[in-house]
Amino acid sequence: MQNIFDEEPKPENRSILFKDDEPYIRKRLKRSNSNRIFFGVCAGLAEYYNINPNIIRLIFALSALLGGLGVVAYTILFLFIPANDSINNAEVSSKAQLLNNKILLGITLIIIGFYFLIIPPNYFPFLFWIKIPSTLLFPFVFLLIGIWLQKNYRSISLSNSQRKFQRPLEGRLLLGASIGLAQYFGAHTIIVRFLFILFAFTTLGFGIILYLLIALLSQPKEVVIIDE
Amino acid sequence: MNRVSPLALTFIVLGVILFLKLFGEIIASETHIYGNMLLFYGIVSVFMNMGKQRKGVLFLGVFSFMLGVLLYVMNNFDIMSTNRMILPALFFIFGSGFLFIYFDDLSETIFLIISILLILAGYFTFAFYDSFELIRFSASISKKTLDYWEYLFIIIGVGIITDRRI
Repeated sequence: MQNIFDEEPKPENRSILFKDDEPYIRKRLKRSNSNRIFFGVCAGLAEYYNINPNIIRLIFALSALLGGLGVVAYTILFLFIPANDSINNAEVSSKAQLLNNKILLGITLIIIGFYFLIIPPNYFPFLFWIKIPSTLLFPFVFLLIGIWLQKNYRSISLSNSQRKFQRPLEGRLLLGASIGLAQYFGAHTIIVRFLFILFAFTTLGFGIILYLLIALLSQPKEVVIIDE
Repeated sequence: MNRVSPLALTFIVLGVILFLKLFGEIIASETHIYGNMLLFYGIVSVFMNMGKQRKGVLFLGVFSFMLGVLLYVMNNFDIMSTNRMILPALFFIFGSGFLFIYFDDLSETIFLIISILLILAGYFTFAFYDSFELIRFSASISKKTLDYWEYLFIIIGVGIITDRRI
Protein backbone atom coordinates (compact mmCIF):
# COMPACT_ATOMS: atom_id res chain seq x y z
CA MET A 1 0.00 0.00 0.00
CA GLN A 2 1.16 3.49 -0.75
CA ASN A 3 1.63 5.94 2.06
CA ILE A 4 -0.19 9.16 1.24
CA PHE A 5 2.70 11.23 2.57
CA ASP A 6 5.01 9.50 0.08
CA GLU A 7 2.97 10.65 -2.91
CA GLU A 8 5.09 11.63 -5.86
CA PRO A 9 3.91 14.73 -7.67
CA LYS A 10 2.67 13.88 -11.12
CA PRO A 11 4.62 15.28 -14.06
CA GLU A 12 1.54 16.41 -15.97
CA ASN A 13 2.24 20.14 -15.65
CA ARG A 14 5.58 20.02 -17.44
CA SER A 15 6.65 20.90 -20.92
CA ILE A 16 10.00 20.11 -22.52
CA LEU A 17 11.88 23.13 -23.86
CA PHE A 18 15.34 23.56 -25.35
CA LYS A 19 17.96 25.97 -24.00
CA ASP A 20 21.38 26.06 -25.73
CA ASP A 21 20.31 22.89 -27.54
CA GLU A 22 19.94 21.14 -24.18
CA PRO A 23 16.46 19.91 -23.28
CA TYR A 24 15.12 21.04 -19.95
CA ILE A 25 11.72 20.70 -18.33
CA ARG A 26 9.80 23.86 -17.66
CA LYS A 27 7.05 23.46 -15.11
CA ARG A 28 3.88 25.47 -15.37
CA LEU A 29 1.57 26.25 -12.50
CA LYS A 30 -1.74 24.65 -13.34
CA ARG A 31 -4.65 23.25 -11.38
CA SER A 32 -4.40 19.48 -11.14
CA ASN A 33 -7.04 17.41 -12.81
CA SER A 34 -5.87 13.99 -11.76
CA ASN A 35 -5.35 14.52 -8.04
CA ARG A 36 -7.97 17.08 -7.15
CA ILE A 37 -10.45 17.11 -4.28
CA PHE A 38 -12.27 20.37 -5.03
CA PHE A 39 -10.75 22.39 -7.88
CA GLY A 40 -7.20 21.00 -7.88
CA VAL A 41 -5.50 24.17 -6.57
CA CYS A 42 -3.58 22.46 -3.74
CA ALA A 43 -2.51 19.50 -5.89
CA GLY A 44 -1.47 21.92 -8.67
CA LEU A 45 0.68 23.92 -6.24
CA ALA A 46 2.18 20.70 -4.87
CA GLU A 47 3.07 19.48 -8.35
CA TYR A 48 4.65 22.83 -9.18
CA TYR A 49 6.73 23.05 -6.01
CA ASN A 50 7.37 19.31 -5.90
CA ILE A 51 5.97 18.75 -2.40
CA ASN A 52 3.28 16.61 -0.87
CA PRO A 53 -0.24 17.88 -1.74
CA ASN A 54 -1.64 16.84 1.66
CA ILE A 55 0.62 19.34 3.44
CA ILE A 56 -0.74 22.19 1.30
CA ARG A 57 -4.30 20.92 1.77
CA LEU A 58 -3.90 20.88 5.55
CA ILE A 59 -2.35 24.39 5.56
CA PHE A 60 -5.23 25.74 3.48
CA ALA A 61 -7.80 23.97 5.64
CA LEU A 62 -6.39 25.26 8.91
CA SER A 63 -5.88 28.77 7.53
CA ALA A 64 -9.58 28.75 6.59
CA LEU A 65 -10.21 29.00 10.33
CA LEU A 66 -8.27 32.27 10.52
CA GLY A 67 -11.27 34.37 9.64
CA GLY A 68 -11.69 32.65 6.29
CA LEU A 69 -8.26 33.62 4.92
CA GLY A 70 -7.69 30.17 3.44
CA VAL A 71 -11.04 30.20 1.64
CA VAL A 72 -10.31 33.62 0.11
CA ALA A 73 -6.79 32.59 -0.93
CA TYR A 74 -8.10 29.37 -2.45
CA THR A 75 -10.81 31.22 -4.39
CA ILE A 76 -8.29 33.76 -5.76
CA LEU A 77 -5.87 31.01 -6.80
CA PHE A 78 -8.73 29.08 -8.40
CA LEU A 79 -9.63 32.14 -10.47
CA PHE A 80 -6.07 32.93 -11.59
CA ILE A 81 -4.45 29.51 -12.05
CA PRO A 82 -5.50 27.88 -15.31
CA ALA A 83 -6.88 24.34 -15.38
CA ASN A 84 -4.83 21.48 -16.75
CA ASP A 85 -6.66 20.11 -19.76
CA SER A 86 -4.13 17.41 -20.58
CA ILE A 87 -5.79 14.80 -18.36
CA ASN A 88 -9.46 14.00 -18.60
CA ASN A 89 -11.58 13.64 -15.46
CA ALA A 90 -12.60 10.19 -16.62
CA GLU A 91 -8.99 9.04 -16.34
CA VAL A 92 -8.95 9.55 -12.58
CA SER A 93 -9.00 6.07 -11.12
CA SER A 94 -11.51 4.96 -8.52
CA LYS A 95 -8.61 4.21 -6.17
CA ALA A 96 -7.35 7.80 -6.41
CA GLN A 97 -10.92 9.01 -5.85
CA LEU A 98 -11.26 6.87 -2.72
CA LEU A 99 -7.92 8.18 -1.46
CA ASN A 100 -9.00 11.78 -2.03
CA ASN A 101 -12.35 11.14 -0.31
CA LYS A 102 -10.46 9.70 2.63
CA ILE A 103 -8.18 12.73 2.88
CA LEU A 104 -11.17 15.04 2.60
CA LEU A 105 -12.96 13.23 5.43
CA GLY A 106 -9.87 13.44 7.63
CA ILE A 107 -9.33 17.15 6.93
CA THR A 108 -13.03 17.90 7.53
CA LEU A 109 -12.93 16.21 10.94
CA ILE A 110 -9.76 18.12 11.89
CA ILE A 111 -11.31 21.45 10.85
CA ILE A 112 -14.53 20.78 12.79
CA GLY A 113 -12.53 19.73 15.85
CA PHE A 114 -10.25 22.78 15.71
CA TYR A 115 -13.10 25.17 14.98
CA PHE A 116 -15.09 24.22 18.05
CA LEU A 117 -12.01 23.74 20.21
CA ILE A 118 -10.00 26.91 19.66
CA ILE A 119 -12.51 29.46 18.45
CA PRO A 120 -15.01 30.73 21.02
CA PRO A 121 -18.37 31.85 19.57
CA ASN A 122 -18.20 35.24 17.81
CA TYR A 123 -14.61 35.74 18.93
CA PHE A 124 -13.11 35.26 15.50
CA PRO A 125 -15.94 35.88 13.05
CA PHE A 126 -15.73 34.53 9.55
CA LEU A 127 -14.42 37.07 7.02
CA PHE A 128 -14.31 39.68 9.81
CA TRP A 129 -12.48 42.33 7.76
CA ILE A 130 -15.41 42.76 5.38
CA LYS A 131 -17.94 42.61 8.23
CA ILE A 132 -19.62 39.36 7.26
CA PRO A 133 -21.12 38.03 10.50
CA SER A 134 -20.07 34.60 11.70
CA THR A 135 -23.74 33.56 11.90
CA LEU A 136 -23.74 33.38 8.09
CA LEU A 137 -20.92 30.82 8.12
CA PHE A 138 -22.88 27.71 9.04
CA PRO A 139 -25.82 28.04 6.59
CA PHE A 140 -23.38 28.97 3.83
CA VAL A 141 -21.03 26.06 4.57
CA PHE A 142 -23.93 23.59 4.86
CA LEU A 143 -25.31 24.70 1.49
CA LEU A 144 -21.87 24.36 -0.13
CA ILE A 145 -21.34 20.91 1.39
CA GLY A 146 -24.79 19.80 0.20
CA ILE A 147 -24.20 21.01 -3.35
CA TRP A 148 -20.71 19.47 -3.44
CA LEU A 149 -22.01 16.13 -2.08
CA GLN A 150 -24.76 16.02 -4.68
CA LYS A 151 -22.35 16.92 -7.48
CA ASN A 152 -19.88 14.22 -6.43
CA TYR A 153 -22.50 11.66 -5.39
CA ARG A 154 -21.31 8.96 -7.76
CA SER A 155 -17.64 9.18 -6.81
CA ILE A 156 -18.40 9.31 -3.08
CA SER A 157 -20.71 6.31 -3.36
CA LEU A 158 -17.75 4.14 -4.32
CA SER A 159 -17.84 1.61 -1.54
CA ASN A 160 -15.83 -1.52 -1.05
CA SER A 161 -18.17 -3.19 1.43
CA GLN A 162 -18.30 -6.95 1.24
CA ARG A 163 -21.40 -9.11 1.32
CA LYS A 164 -20.42 -11.58 4.04
CA PHE A 165 -19.10 -10.60 7.46
CA GLN A 166 -15.74 -12.26 7.96
CA ARG A 167 -12.71 -11.63 10.10
CA PRO A 168 -9.60 -11.22 7.95
CA LEU A 169 -6.42 -12.64 9.40
CA GLU A 170 -4.23 -10.46 7.24
CA GLY A 171 -3.33 -6.98 8.51
CA ARG A 172 -5.01 -7.47 11.89
CA LEU A 173 -3.74 -6.02 15.17
CA LEU A 174 -5.54 -8.37 17.58
CA LEU A 175 -8.26 -10.72 16.34
CA GLY A 176 -9.24 -8.82 13.20
CA ALA A 177 -12.79 -7.96 14.28
CA SER A 178 -12.32 -4.24 13.56
CA ILE A 179 -11.02 -4.85 10.03
CA GLY A 180 -13.85 -7.32 9.43
CA LEU A 181 -16.48 -4.79 10.52
CA ALA A 182 -14.78 -2.01 8.54
CA GLN A 183 -14.78 -4.11 5.37
CA TYR A 184 -18.38 -5.18 5.94
CA PHE A 185 -19.55 -1.59 6.44
CA GLY A 186 -17.28 -0.15 3.75
CA ALA A 187 -15.76 2.15 6.38
CA HIS A 188 -12.22 3.07 7.38
CA THR A 189 -10.58 0.60 9.77
CA ILE A 190 -9.15 3.42 11.88
CA ILE A 191 -12.68 4.73 12.63
CA VAL A 192 -13.95 1.30 13.70
CA ARG A 193 -10.87 0.70 15.86
CA PHE A 194 -11.20 4.09 17.48
CA LEU A 195 -14.91 3.58 18.14
CA PHE A 196 -14.17 0.22 19.81
CA ILE A 197 -11.55 1.83 22.06
CA LEU A 198 -13.87 4.72 22.88
CA PHE A 199 -16.80 2.39 23.53
CA ALA A 200 -14.66 0.16 25.76
CA PHE A 201 -13.43 3.22 27.65
CA THR A 202 -16.82 4.84 28.20
CA THR A 203 -18.63 1.63 29.14
CA LEU A 204 -15.98 0.35 31.54
CA GLY A 205 -14.88 -2.57 29.41
CA PHE A 206 -18.14 -3.57 27.72
CA GLY A 207 -16.53 -2.76 24.37
CA ILE A 208 -13.84 -5.37 25.02
CA ILE A 209 -16.50 -8.02 25.72
CA LEU A 210 -18.26 -6.98 22.51
CA TYR A 211 -15.01 -7.20 20.53
CA LEU A 212 -14.25 -10.69 21.86
CA LEU A 213 -17.83 -11.80 21.17
CA ILE A 214 -17.65 -10.58 17.57
CA ALA A 215 -14.29 -12.31 17.13
CA LEU A 216 -15.63 -15.57 18.60
CA LEU A 217 -18.87 -15.63 16.61
CA SER A 218 -17.44 -14.63 13.23
CA GLN A 219 -15.79 -16.75 10.61
CA PRO A 220 -12.11 -16.09 9.88
CA LYS A 221 -11.44 -15.04 6.31
CA GLU A 222 -9.17 -17.49 4.57
CA VAL A 223 -6.03 -16.16 2.93
CA VAL A 224 -5.85 -17.20 -0.71
CA ILE A 225 -2.34 -18.14 -1.83
CA ILE A 226 -1.80 -18.01 -5.57
CA ASP A 227 0.98 -20.19 -6.95
CA GLU A 228 2.84 -18.68 -9.84
CA MET B 1 -28.22 4.19 -8.15
CA ASN B 2 -30.36 6.90 -6.60
CA ARG B 3 -30.08 10.29 -8.21
CA VAL B 4 -30.41 12.31 -5.02
CA SER B 5 -28.01 11.88 -2.14
CA PRO B 6 -29.91 11.90 1.19
CA LEU B 7 -26.92 13.47 2.90
CA ALA B 8 -26.63 16.22 0.27
CA LEU B 9 -30.36 16.87 0.52
CA THR B 10 -30.14 17.09 4.32
CA PHE B 11 -27.27 19.59 4.17
CA ILE B 12 -29.06 21.76 1.59
CA VAL B 13 -32.32 21.78 3.58
CA LEU B 14 -30.36 22.52 6.77
CA GLY B 15 -28.55 25.41 5.09
CA VAL B 16 -31.82 26.88 3.79
CA ILE B 17 -33.53 26.52 7.20
CA LEU B 18 -30.61 28.20 8.98
CA PHE B 19 -30.72 31.05 6.43
CA LEU B 20 -34.47 31.44 7.04
CA LYS B 21 -33.86 31.42 10.79
CA LEU B 22 -31.20 34.10 10.34
CA PHE B 23 -33.64 36.34 8.52
CA GLY B 24 -36.34 35.73 11.13
CA GLU B 25 -38.65 33.63 8.94
CA ILE B 26 -38.35 30.57 11.18
CA ILE B 27 -38.38 30.72 14.95
CA ALA B 28 -36.85 27.59 16.41
CA SER B 29 -33.87 26.69 18.55
CA GLU B 30 -30.79 25.32 16.78
CA THR B 31 -30.99 22.09 18.79
CA HIS B 32 -34.54 21.63 17.53
CA ILE B 33 -33.46 22.20 13.90
CA TYR B 34 -30.42 19.88 14.12
CA GLY B 35 -32.50 17.21 15.87
CA ASN B 36 -35.16 17.29 13.16
CA MET B 37 -32.52 17.17 10.43
CA LEU B 38 -30.96 14.09 12.03
CA LEU B 39 -34.41 12.45 12.11
CA PHE B 40 -34.99 13.44 8.47
CA TYR B 41 -31.62 12.07 7.30
CA GLY B 42 -32.09 8.90 9.34
CA ILE B 43 -35.52 8.07 7.90
CA VAL B 44 -34.58 8.91 4.28
CA SER B 45 -31.26 7.09 4.51
CA VAL B 46 -32.74 3.89 6.00
CA PHE B 47 -35.59 3.94 3.47
CA MET B 48 -33.22 4.37 0.52
CA ASN B 49 -30.49 1.97 1.59
CA MET B 50 -32.40 -0.95 3.10
CA GLY B 51 -31.70 -4.17 1.22
CA LYS B 52 -29.10 -2.61 -1.08
CA GLN B 53 -25.93 -3.92 0.55
CA ARG B 54 -24.92 -0.49 1.82
CA LYS B 55 -24.37 -1.48 5.41
CA GLY B 56 -22.26 1.51 6.41
CA VAL B 57 -24.77 4.07 5.17
CA LEU B 58 -27.63 2.08 6.71
CA PHE B 59 -25.87 2.00 10.08
CA LEU B 60 -25.19 5.74 9.81
CA GLY B 61 -28.86 6.34 9.02
CA VAL B 62 -30.09 4.43 12.07
CA PHE B 63 -27.40 6.09 14.21
CA SER B 64 -28.52 9.51 12.99
CA PHE B 65 -32.22 8.74 13.58
CA MET B 66 -31.62 7.54 17.14
CA LEU B 67 -29.44 10.58 17.84
CA GLY B 68 -32.28 12.75 16.53
CA VAL B 69 -34.72 10.99 18.86
CA LEU B 70 -32.34 11.60 21.78
CA LEU B 71 -32.07 15.31 20.92
CA TYR B 72 -35.85 15.51 20.57
CA VAL B 73 -36.40 13.92 23.98
CA MET B 74 -33.78 16.12 25.64
CA ASN B 75 -35.24 19.21 23.98
CA ASN B 76 -38.90 18.56 24.71
CA PHE B 77 -38.86 16.90 28.12
CA ASP B 78 -37.42 18.04 31.40
CA ILE B 79 -34.62 15.59 31.99
CA MET B 80 -33.58 15.54 35.62
CA SER B 81 -30.15 14.04 35.01
CA THR B 82 -28.42 13.96 31.62
CA ASN B 83 -25.79 11.63 33.09
CA ARG B 84 -28.48 9.00 33.49
CA MET B 85 -29.43 9.25 29.82
CA ILE B 86 -26.02 9.09 28.16
CA LEU B 87 -24.87 5.53 28.83
CA PRO B 88 -28.22 3.80 28.03
CA ALA B 89 -28.54 6.04 24.95
CA LEU B 90 -25.11 4.90 23.72
CA PHE B 91 -26.12 1.25 24.12
CA PHE B 92 -29.54 1.75 22.50
CA ILE B 93 -28.12 3.71 19.54
CA PHE B 94 -25.44 1.14 18.69
CA GLY B 95 -27.84 -1.74 19.44
CA SER B 96 -30.46 -0.35 17.05
CA GLY B 97 -27.80 0.14 14.37
CA PHE B 98 -26.73 -3.51 14.56
CA LEU B 99 -30.39 -4.64 14.68
CA PHE B 100 -31.07 -2.92 11.35
CA ILE B 101 -27.93 -4.47 9.89
CA TYR B 102 -29.43 -7.83 10.85
CA PHE B 103 -32.79 -6.90 9.28
CA ASP B 104 -30.90 -5.99 6.11
CA ASP B 105 -29.31 -9.44 5.93
CA LEU B 106 -31.11 -12.06 8.03
CA SER B 107 -28.32 -14.61 7.56
CA GLU B 108 -25.96 -12.56 9.75
CA THR B 109 -27.24 -13.71 13.16
CA ILE B 110 -24.12 -12.35 14.83
CA PHE B 111 -25.55 -8.84 14.53
CA LEU B 112 -28.83 -9.94 16.13
CA ILE B 113 -26.93 -11.32 19.12
CA ILE B 114 -24.86 -8.14 19.42
CA SER B 115 -27.91 -5.89 19.15
CA ILE B 116 -29.87 -7.86 21.79
CA LEU B 117 -26.86 -7.70 24.10
CA LEU B 118 -26.45 -3.95 23.60
CA ILE B 119 -30.16 -3.18 24.04
CA LEU B 120 -30.27 -5.31 27.21
CA ALA B 121 -27.18 -3.50 28.48
CA GLY B 122 -28.96 -0.21 27.75
CA TYR B 123 -32.04 -1.30 29.66
CA PHE B 124 -29.92 -2.60 32.55
CA THR B 125 -27.89 0.61 32.90
CA PHE B 126 -31.08 2.70 32.79
CA ALA B 127 -33.11 0.59 35.22
CA PHE B 128 -30.35 -0.02 37.76
CA TYR B 129 -28.65 3.37 37.55
CA ASP B 130 -29.34 4.15 41.21
CA SER B 131 -28.50 0.66 42.45
CA PHE B 132 -24.93 0.34 41.24
CA GLU B 133 -22.13 2.81 41.88
CA LEU B 134 -20.20 1.31 38.93
CA ILE B 135 -22.92 2.35 36.45
CA ARG B 136 -22.94 5.92 37.79
CA PHE B 137 -19.15 6.05 37.58
CA SER B 138 -19.24 4.72 34.02
CA ALA B 139 -21.92 7.26 33.06
CA SER B 140 -19.83 10.11 34.42
CA ILE B 141 -16.84 8.90 32.35
CA SER B 142 -19.06 8.79 29.24
CA LYS B 143 -20.25 12.34 29.94
CA LYS B 144 -16.69 13.62 30.39
CA THR B 145 -15.53 11.84 27.22
CA LEU B 146 -18.34 13.30 25.15
CA ASP B 147 -17.54 16.76 26.56
CA TYR B 148 -14.20 16.56 24.73
CA TRP B 149 -15.60 15.46 21.38
CA GLU B 150 -13.49 18.07 19.54
CA TYR B 151 -10.30 16.20 20.48
CA LEU B 152 -11.87 12.96 19.28
CA PHE B 153 -12.63 14.52 15.91
CA ILE B 154 -9.05 15.79 15.54
CA ILE B 155 -7.56 12.42 16.56
CA ILE B 156 -9.79 10.48 14.15
CA GLY B 157 -9.06 13.02 11.37
CA VAL B 158 -5.30 12.71 11.83
CA GLY B 159 -5.67 8.93 12.03
CA ILE B 160 -7.58 8.81 8.74
CA ILE B 161 -5.06 11.03 6.93
CA THR B 162 -2.05 9.08 8.13
CA ASP B 163 -3.65 5.65 7.68
CA ARG B 164 -2.01 3.75 4.83
CA ARG B 165 -5.05 1.76 3.77
CA ILE B 166 -7.68 3.10 1.36
